[in-house]
Amino acid sequence: MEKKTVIVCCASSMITSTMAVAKVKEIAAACGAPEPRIIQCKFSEVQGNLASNHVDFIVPTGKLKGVETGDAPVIKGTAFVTGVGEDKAKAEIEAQLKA
Amino acid sequence: MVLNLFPEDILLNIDAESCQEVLHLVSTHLFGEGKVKQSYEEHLVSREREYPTGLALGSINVAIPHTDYQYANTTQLLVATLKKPVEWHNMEDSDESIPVSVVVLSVFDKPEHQLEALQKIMGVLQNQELVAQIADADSAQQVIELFN
Repeated sequence: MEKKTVIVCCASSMITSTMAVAKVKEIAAACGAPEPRIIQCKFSEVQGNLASNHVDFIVPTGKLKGVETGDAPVIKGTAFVTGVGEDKAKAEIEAQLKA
Repeated sequence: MVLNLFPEDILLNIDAESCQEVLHLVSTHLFGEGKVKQSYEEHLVSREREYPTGLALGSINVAIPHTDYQYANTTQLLVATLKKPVEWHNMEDSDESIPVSVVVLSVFDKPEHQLEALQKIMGVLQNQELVAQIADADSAQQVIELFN
């Protein structure tokens, strides 16, 4: 398994993305994948970070609007804030980490 | 950490027609107490417009409006229960609206308090049974106990 690069992002105050970052690391540890390199940023910084990094997937805690995500899959991380649908989001992230 | 909740900032059964009205009521309340700066409402509203905070939690939904720490003078929560649900934009998809019955406003004057407090709040809000008890609470003390 290759070490992945993941963008975890939220609106502005870095709160919900910090909650999601903790979960992504936890999922990696639990499934035996290498801990990914995590780029934590605001929605407004995603486009720039995509341009300057090879990003394997993106976990936004809200809707990413006006961002061209190209080939990078987007997995909604809102579940890590609300707890609703958390198992599904975890499974999707695990699959990406192991891909 | 213990969440700061004061009986005077637990607003039960408030009567509002819209999310804007709720934000106006709570901002005015906090400004009247000197707990936020005058510009708080403006920043709260614009952040909410751009990045909504309605959380689709199940049968009872909650909104967690907040804004940057510069506009507050204290670190605490304000909880408002609504007489009838109002439409709130969904954090997960801002084009969608969900009916919200409980509003938990986190007020922070120091950024480092924000994460731990929000995690603790979400620990409560992810439990629909507790949310239902908050929504139906008829005393401020009851709400404070449910959060701590």
